[in-house]
Amino acid sequence: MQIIQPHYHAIARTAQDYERMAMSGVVAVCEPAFWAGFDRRYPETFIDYFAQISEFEPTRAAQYGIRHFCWVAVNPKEAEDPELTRDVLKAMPEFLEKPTCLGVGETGLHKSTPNEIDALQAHVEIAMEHGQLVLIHTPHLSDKAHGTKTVIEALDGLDIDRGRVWIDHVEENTIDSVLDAGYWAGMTLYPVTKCSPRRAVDILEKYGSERLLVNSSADWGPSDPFTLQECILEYRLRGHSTQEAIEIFHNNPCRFLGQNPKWDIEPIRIESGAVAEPAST
Amino acid sequence: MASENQFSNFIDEVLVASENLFSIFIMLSPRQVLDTYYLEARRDLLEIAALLDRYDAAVEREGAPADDEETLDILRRALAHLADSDSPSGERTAALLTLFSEI
Repeated sequence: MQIIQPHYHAIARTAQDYERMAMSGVVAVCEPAFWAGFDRRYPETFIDYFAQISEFEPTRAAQYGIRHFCWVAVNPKEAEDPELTRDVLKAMPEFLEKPTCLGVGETGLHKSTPNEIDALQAHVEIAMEHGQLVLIHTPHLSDKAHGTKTVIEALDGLDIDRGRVWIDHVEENTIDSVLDAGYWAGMTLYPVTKCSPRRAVDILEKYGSERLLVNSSADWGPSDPFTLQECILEYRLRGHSTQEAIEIFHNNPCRFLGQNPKWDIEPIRIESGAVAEPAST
Repeated sequence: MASENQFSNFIDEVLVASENLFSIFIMLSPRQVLDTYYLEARRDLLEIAALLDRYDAAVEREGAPADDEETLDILRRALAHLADSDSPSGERTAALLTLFSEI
Protein backbone atom coordinates (compact mmCIF):
# COMPACT_ATOMS: atom_id res chain seq x y z
CA MET A 1 0.00 0.00 0.00
CA GLN A 2 1.28 3.49 -0.86
CA ILE A 3 1.56 5.80 2.14
CA ILE A 4 2.24 9.52 2.52
CA GLN A 5 3.85 10.77 5.71
CA PRO A 6 2.48 14.32 5.90
CA HIS A 7 4.51 15.53 8.91
CA TYR A 8 8.06 14.26 9.35
CA HIS A 9 11.22 15.95 10.63
CA ALA A 10 13.70 14.18 8.40
CA ILE A 11 16.79 16.13 9.40
CA ALA A 12 16.46 14.61 12.87
CA ARG A 13 16.24 11.07 11.52
CA THR A 14 18.61 8.57 9.97
CA ALA A 15 18.93 7.28 6.43
CA GLN A 16 17.78 3.92 7.81
CA ASP A 17 14.41 5.48 8.57
CA TYR A 18 14.12 6.50 4.93
CA GLU A 19 15.08 3.01 3.83
CA ARG A 20 12.58 1.31 6.13
CA MET A 21 9.85 3.77 5.25
CA ALA A 22 10.45 3.12 1.56
CA MET A 23 10.27 -0.63 2.18
CA SER A 24 6.93 -0.15 3.98
CA GLY A 25 5.33 1.79 1.12
CA VAL A 26 6.03 5.43 1.98
CA VAL A 27 6.26 7.41 -1.27
CA ALA A 28 6.50 10.97 0.09
CA VAL A 29 7.28 12.84 3.30
CA CYS A 30 6.59 16.47 4.19
CA GLU A 31 8.93 18.31 6.53
CA PRO A 32 7.68 21.39 8.36
CA ALA A 33 10.23 23.71 9.91
CA PHE A 34 10.43 23.10 13.66
CA TRP A 35 12.30 23.72 16.89
CA ALA A 36 15.83 22.35 16.94
CA GLY A 37 15.83 21.65 20.68
CA PHE A 38 17.48 24.98 21.43
CA ASP A 39 16.55 28.57 20.60
CA ARG A 40 18.40 29.83 17.52
CA ARG A 41 19.85 33.30 17.90
CA TYR A 42 20.19 34.51 14.33
CA PRO A 43 17.85 34.77 11.35
CA GLU A 44 20.69 33.46 9.21
CA THR A 45 20.53 30.17 11.11
CA PHE A 46 16.92 29.80 10.00
CA ILE A 47 17.86 30.66 6.42
CA ASP A 48 20.46 27.89 6.37
CA TYR A 49 17.92 25.54 7.92
CA PHE A 50 15.34 26.40 5.26
CA ALA A 51 17.98 25.73 2.59
CA GLN A 52 18.70 22.37 4.19
CA ILE A 53 15.07 21.23 4.11
CA SER A 54 14.27 22.72 0.69
CA GLU A 55 17.47 21.82 -1.18
CA PHE A 56 19.51 19.11 0.53
CA GLU A 57 16.92 16.90 2.21
CA PRO A 58 15.06 16.10 -1.04
CA THR A 59 18.30 14.62 -2.38
CA ARG A 60 18.70 12.40 0.70
CA ALA A 61 15.11 11.14 0.43
CA ALA A 62 15.48 10.56 -3.32
CA GLN A 63 18.17 7.94 -2.67
CA TYR A 64 15.35 5.77 -1.32
CA GLY A 65 12.79 6.69 -3.94
CA ILE A 66 10.88 8.97 -1.54
CA ARG A 67 9.66 12.43 -2.55
CA HIS A 68 10.51 15.10 0.02
CA PHE A 69 8.53 18.32 0.45
CA CYS A 70 8.92 21.06 3.07
CA TRP A 71 7.27 23.98 4.83
CA VAL A 72 8.98 27.08 6.24
CA ALA A 73 8.20 29.07 9.40
CA VAL A 74 9.48 30.23 12.75
CA ASN A 75 8.20 27.60 15.13
CA PRO A 76 6.03 28.76 18.07
CA LYS A 77 8.74 28.37 20.72
CA GLU A 78 11.17 30.70 18.97
CA ALA A 79 8.36 33.02 17.84
CA GLU A 80 8.45 34.43 21.36
CA ASP A 81 11.28 36.63 20.01
CA PRO A 82 9.48 39.25 17.85
CA GLU A 83 12.63 40.74 16.29
CA LEU A 84 13.95 37.35 15.21
CA THR A 85 10.53 36.40 13.87
CA ARG A 86 10.26 39.61 11.84
CA ASP A 87 13.67 39.08 10.25
CA VAL A 88 12.95 35.46 9.36
CA LEU A 89 9.54 36.32 7.92
CA LYS A 90 11.25 38.81 5.58
CA ALA A 91 13.44 36.00 4.23
CA MET A 92 10.67 33.44 3.83
CA PRO A 93 9.17 34.43 0.45
CA GLU A 94 12.38 33.32 -1.30
CA PHE A 95 11.86 29.83 0.09
CA LEU A 96 8.15 29.75 -0.68
CA GLU A 97 9.25 29.82 -4.34
CA LYS A 98 11.32 26.63 -3.99
CA PRO A 99 9.94 23.76 -6.10
CA THR A 100 9.33 21.49 -3.10
CA CYS A 101 8.06 24.06 -0.59
CA LEU A 102 4.34 23.58 0.08
CA GLY A 103 3.60 26.48 2.39
CA VAL A 104 4.01 28.14 5.76
CA GLY A 105 4.45 25.85 8.77
CA GLU A 106 4.64 24.80 11.33
CA THR A 107 3.57 28.05 12.88
CA GLY A 108 1.16 28.00 15.82
CA LEU A 109 1.24 28.28 19.57
CA HIS A 110 3.32 26.82 22.38
CA LYS A 111 2.40 28.74 25.53
CA SER A 112 -0.19 30.94 23.78
CA THR A 113 1.59 34.21 24.64
CA PRO A 114 0.76 37.53 22.94
CA ASN A 115 4.04 37.36 20.98
CA GLU A 116 3.23 33.86 19.75
CA ILE A 117 -0.25 34.95 18.69
CA ASP A 118 1.16 37.95 16.80
CA ALA A 119 3.67 35.66 15.07
CA LEU A 120 0.97 33.14 14.14
CA GLN A 121 -1.17 35.86 12.57
CA ALA A 122 1.84 37.31 10.72
CA HIS A 123 2.69 33.86 9.35
CA VAL A 124 -0.87 33.25 8.16
CA GLU A 125 -1.03 36.68 6.54
CA ILE A 126 2.19 36.02 4.61
CA ALA A 127 0.84 32.65 3.53
CA MET A 128 -2.37 34.20 2.23
CA GLU A 129 -0.49 36.99 0.44
CA HIS A 130 1.60 34.37 -1.38
CA GLY A 131 -1.22 31.89 -1.99
CA GLN A 132 0.33 29.29 0.31
CA LEU A 133 -1.05 26.48 2.45
CA VAL A 134 -0.70 26.78 6.24
CA LEU A 135 0.27 24.15 8.82
CA ILE A 136 -0.46 25.08 12.43
CA HIS A 137 1.01 23.41 15.51
CA THR A 138 -1.16 23.21 18.62
CA PRO A 139 0.39 22.99 22.10
CA HIS A 140 1.25 19.81 23.97
CA LEU A 141 -0.46 18.11 26.89
CA SER A 142 -2.18 20.37 29.41
CA ASP A 143 -1.87 23.47 27.18
CA LYS A 144 -3.58 21.79 24.21
CA ALA A 145 -7.26 22.59 24.76
CA HIS A 146 -6.64 26.22 25.62
CA GLY A 147 -4.03 26.60 22.87
CA THR A 148 -6.26 25.10 20.18
CA LYS A 149 -9.11 27.41 21.18
CA THR A 150 -6.71 30.36 21.06
CA VAL A 151 -5.46 29.33 17.60
CA ILE A 152 -9.00 29.29 16.26
CA GLU A 153 -9.77 32.65 17.87
CA ALA A 154 -6.56 34.14 16.41
CA LEU A 155 -7.55 32.92 12.93
CA ASP A 156 -11.11 34.21 13.26
CA GLY A 157 -10.04 37.77 12.59
CA LEU A 158 -8.11 36.94 9.43
CA ASP A 159 -9.22 36.76 5.82
CA ILE A 160 -8.36 33.14 5.07
CA ASP A 161 -9.55 30.14 3.13
CA ARG A 162 -10.03 27.61 5.95
CA GLY A 163 -9.84 24.69 3.59
CA ARG A 164 -6.19 25.60 2.98
CA VAL A 165 -5.28 25.51 6.68
CA TRP A 166 -4.29 22.33 8.55
CA ILE A 167 -4.40 22.46 12.34
CA ASP A 168 -2.24 19.65 13.67
CA HIS A 169 -1.94 17.49 16.79
CA VAL A 170 -5.68 17.33 17.49
CA GLU A 171 -6.97 14.84 20.03
CA GLU A 172 -10.41 13.77 21.27
CA ASN A 173 -10.96 17.02 23.17
CA THR A 174 -9.97 19.40 20.35
CA ILE A 175 -10.98 17.79 17.06
CA ASP A 176 -14.59 19.02 17.06
CA SER A 177 -13.65 22.69 17.25
CA VAL A 178 -11.17 22.35 14.38
CA LEU A 179 -13.47 20.42 12.02
CA ASP A 180 -16.55 22.47 12.92
CA ALA A 181 -14.66 25.64 11.99
CA GLY A 182 -13.89 24.23 8.54
CA TYR A 183 -10.16 23.51 8.91
CA TRP A 184 -8.30 20.30 8.14
CA ALA A 185 -7.32 18.40 11.30
CA GLY A 186 -4.17 16.35 11.79
CA MET A 187 -3.62 13.56 14.30
CA THR A 188 -0.03 13.06 15.39
CA LEU A 189 0.93 9.63 16.67
CA TYR A 190 3.53 9.62 19.43
CA PRO A 191 4.60 6.77 21.69
CA VAL A 192 3.66 8.70 24.84
CA THR A 193 2.65 12.34 24.64
CA LYS A 194 0.24 12.73 21.74
CA CYS A 195 -2.40 10.54 20.09
CA SER A 196 -1.83 6.78 19.86
CA PRO A 197 -2.43 4.62 16.76
CA ARG A 198 -5.43 2.92 18.37
CA ARG A 199 -7.00 6.17 19.52
CA ALA A 200 -6.48 7.62 16.04
CA VAL A 201 -8.43 4.72 14.53
CA ASP A 202 -11.20 5.31 17.10
CA ILE A 203 -11.32 8.92 15.93
CA LEU A 204 -11.40 7.88 12.26
CA GLU A 205 -14.28 5.50 13.00
CA LYS A 206 -16.17 8.25 14.81
CA TYR A 207 -15.55 11.14 12.41
CA GLY A 208 -14.97 9.45 9.05
CA SER A 209 -12.13 10.50 6.81
CA GLU A 210 -13.16 13.94 5.56
CA ARG A 211 -10.53 16.66 6.23
CA LEU A 212 -8.48 14.34 8.44
CA LEU A 213 -4.74 13.68 8.19
CA VAL A 214 -2.64 11.20 10.18
CA ASN A 215 1.10 11.60 10.74
CA SER A 216 3.87 10.55 13.09
CA SER A 217 5.78 13.85 13.18
CA ALA A 218 8.91 11.86 13.99
CA ASP A 219 11.66 14.16 15.25
CA TRP A 220 14.68 14.16 17.58
CA GLY A 221 12.57 13.40 20.69
CA PRO A 222 10.76 10.23 21.76
CA SER A 223 8.93 9.50 18.50
CA ASP A 224 8.74 6.84 15.82
CA PRO A 225 7.91 7.23 12.12
CA PHE A 226 6.34 3.78 12.15
CA THR A 227 3.51 4.76 14.47
CA LEU A 228 1.85 5.66 11.15
CA GLN A 229 2.18 2.09 9.90
CA GLU A 230 0.97 0.83 13.30
CA CYS A 231 -2.12 2.93 12.80
CA ILE A 232 -2.66 1.55 9.30
CA LEU A 233 -2.33 -2.00 10.61
CA GLU A 234 -4.80 -1.31 13.44
CA TYR A 235 -7.20 0.25 10.93
CA ARG A 236 -6.97 -2.73 8.58
CA LEU A 237 -7.28 -5.29 11.38
CA ARG A 238 -10.54 -3.66 12.46
CA GLY A 239 -11.96 -4.63 9.09
CA HIS A 240 -11.54 -1.49 7.02
CA SER A 241 -10.72 -2.10 3.38
CA THR A 242 -7.50 -1.34 1.56
CA GLN A 243 -9.22 1.40 -0.41
CA GLU A 244 -10.53 3.00 2.80
CA ALA A 245 -6.99 2.95 4.18
CA ILE A 246 -5.64 4.48 0.98
CA GLU A 247 -8.23 7.26 1.22
CA ILE A 248 -6.91 8.26 4.65
CA PHE A 249 -3.21 7.52 4.49
CA HIS A 250 -2.51 8.47 0.87
CA ASN A 251 -5.40 10.29 -0.78
CA ASN A 252 -6.27 12.74 1.98
CA PRO A 253 -2.73 14.15 2.03
CA CYS A 254 -2.99 14.42 -1.76
CA ARG A 255 -6.30 16.28 -1.46
CA PHE A 256 -5.00 18.81 1.05
CA LEU A 257 -1.46 19.23 -0.24
CA GLY A 258 -2.62 19.09 -3.87
CA GLN A 259 -4.13 22.55 -3.37
CA ASN A 260 -0.55 23.66 -3.96
CA PRO A 261 0.27 22.94 -7.63
CA LYS A 262 3.80 21.87 -6.66
CA TRP A 263 2.27 18.70 -5.15
CA ASP A 264 1.92 16.40 -8.16
CA ILE A 265 1.03 13.09 -6.50
CA GLU A 266 -2.52 12.14 -7.40
CA PRO A 267 -5.06 10.23 -5.28
CA ILE A 268 -5.14 6.58 -6.25
CA ARG A 269 -7.97 4.09 -6.59
CA ILE A 270 -7.63 0.31 -6.70
CA GLU A 271 -9.26 -0.86 -9.91
CA SER A 272 -9.12 -4.62 -9.40
CA GLY A 273 -11.46 -6.23 -6.89
CA ALA A 274 -8.89 -8.90 -6.15
CA VAL A 275 -7.16 -7.17 -3.26
CA ALA A 276 -6.24 -9.30 -0.29
CA GLU A 277 -7.98 -8.04 2.83
CA PRO A 278 -6.87 -8.94 6.38
CA ALA A 279 -7.83 -12.43 7.50
CA SER A 280 -10.47 -12.45 10.21
CA THR A 281 -9.38 -13.87 13.56
CA MET B 1 50.36 -8.57 56.91
CA ALA B 2 49.86 -4.91 57.70
CA SER B 3 49.65 -4.06 54.03
CA GLU B 4 47.13 -6.88 53.46
CA ASN B 5 44.91 -5.48 56.23
CA GLN B 6 45.27 -2.02 54.81
CA PHE B 7 44.28 -3.30 51.37
CA SER B 8 41.30 -5.16 52.80
CA ASN B 9 40.15 -2.05 54.68
CA PHE B 10 40.54 -0.04 51.51
CA ILE B 11 38.37 -2.50 49.57
CA ASP B 12 35.72 -2.39 52.31
CA GLU B 13 35.67 1.38 52.14
CA VAL B 14 35.33 1.29 48.36
CA LEU B 15 32.42 -1.14 48.58
CA VAL B 16 30.62 0.98 51.18
CA ALA B 17 31.24 4.11 49.13
CA SER B 18 29.92 2.36 46.01
CA GLU B 19 26.76 1.29 47.80
CA ASN B 20 26.18 4.84 49.00
CA LEU B 21 26.85 6.17 45.53
CA PHE B 22 24.42 3.76 43.90
CA SER B 23 21.77 4.43 46.52
CA ILE B 24 21.99 8.09 45.53
CA PHE B 25 21.50 7.31 41.87
CA ILE B 26 19.07 4.39 42.02
CA MET B 27 16.49 5.29 44.64
CA LEU B 28 13.98 7.81 43.33
CA SER B 29 12.48 10.54 45.46
CA PRO B 30 8.67 10.89 45.50
CA ARG B 31 8.99 13.87 43.15
CA GLN B 32 11.22 11.87 40.78
CA VAL B 33 8.73 9.00 40.72
CA LEU B 34 5.96 11.34 39.57
CA ASP B 35 8.19 13.21 37.13
CA THR B 36 9.51 9.97 35.62
CA TYR B 37 6.28 8.03 35.22
CA TYR B 38 3.44 10.55 35.02
CA LEU B 39 3.34 10.83 31.23
CA GLU B 40 3.43 7.07 30.70
CA ALA B 41 0.63 6.60 33.24
CA ARG B 42 -1.33 9.36 31.52
CA ARG B 43 -0.92 7.56 28.19
CA ASP B 44 -1.99 4.23 29.67
CA LEU B 45 -5.09 5.73 31.30
CA LEU B 46 -6.05 7.38 28.00
CA GLU B 47 -5.75 3.97 26.31
CA ILE B 48 -8.11 2.48 28.91
CA ALA B 49 -10.55 5.36 28.44
CA ALA B 50 -10.37 4.82 24.67
CA LEU B 51 -11.01 1.08 25.11
CA LEU B 52 -14.16 1.79 27.15
CA ASP B 53 -15.35 4.33 24.56
CA ARG B 54 -14.56 1.82 21.78
CA TYR B 55 -16.64 -0.83 23.53
CA ASP B 56 -19.59 1.54 23.96
CA ALA B 57 -19.38 2.53 20.29
CA ALA B 58 -19.42 -1.14 19.25
CA VAL B 59 -22.43 -1.81 21.49
CA GLU B 60 -24.25 1.13 19.93
CA ARG B 61 -23.32 -0.03 16.42
CA GLU B 62 -24.50 -3.59 17.00
CA GLY B 63 -27.43 -2.70 19.25
CA ALA B 64 -26.37 -5.19 21.92
CA PRO B 65 -23.54 -5.74 24.40
CA ALA B 66 -21.11 -8.68 24.34
CA ASP B 67 -22.56 -12.06 25.34
CA ASP B 68 -20.78 -11.76 28.62
CA GLU B 69 -19.09 -8.70 30.07
CA GLU B 70 -16.89 -10.50 32.57
CA THR B 71 -13.67 -8.96 31.31
CA LEU B 72 -15.22 -5.51 31.23
CA ASP B 73 -16.42 -6.00 34.79
CA ILE B 74 -12.94 -7.03 35.90
CA LEU B 75 -11.46 -3.90 34.29
CA ARG B 76 -14.01 -1.69 36.05
CA ARG B 77 -13.26 -3.38 39.40
CA ALA B 78 -9.53 -2.89 38.82
CA LEU B 79 -10.03 0.81 38.09
CA ALA B 80 -12.22 1.17 41.18
CA HIS B 81 -9.53 -0.51 43.28
CA LEU B 82 -6.90 1.94 42.02
CA ALA B 83 -9.20 4.91 42.60
CA ASP B 84 -9.84 3.83 46.20
CA SER B 85 -7.59 5.95 48.39
CA ASP B 86 -7.79 3.26 51.10
CA SER B 87 -6.26 0.53 48.89
CA PRO B 88 -3.21 -0.86 50.72
CA SER B 89 0.02 0.86 49.77
CA GLY B 90 2.57 -1.35 48.04
CA GLU B 91 -0.02 -4.05 47.29
CA ARG B 92 -2.04 -2.56 44.45
CA THR B 93 -0.28 -4.48 41.68
CA ALA B 94 -0.61 -7.79 43.53
CA ALA B 95 -4.29 -7.06 44.20
CA LEU B 96 -4.93 -6.44 40.52
CA LEU B 97 -3.10 -9.61 39.51
CA THR B 98 -5.28 -11.53 41.93
CA LEU B 99 -8.35 -9.86 40.47
CA PHE B 100 -7.29 -10.68 36.91
CA SER B 101 -6.72 -14.32 37.91
CA GLU B 102 -10.46 -14.67 38.48
CA ILE B 103 -11.03 -15.11 34.75
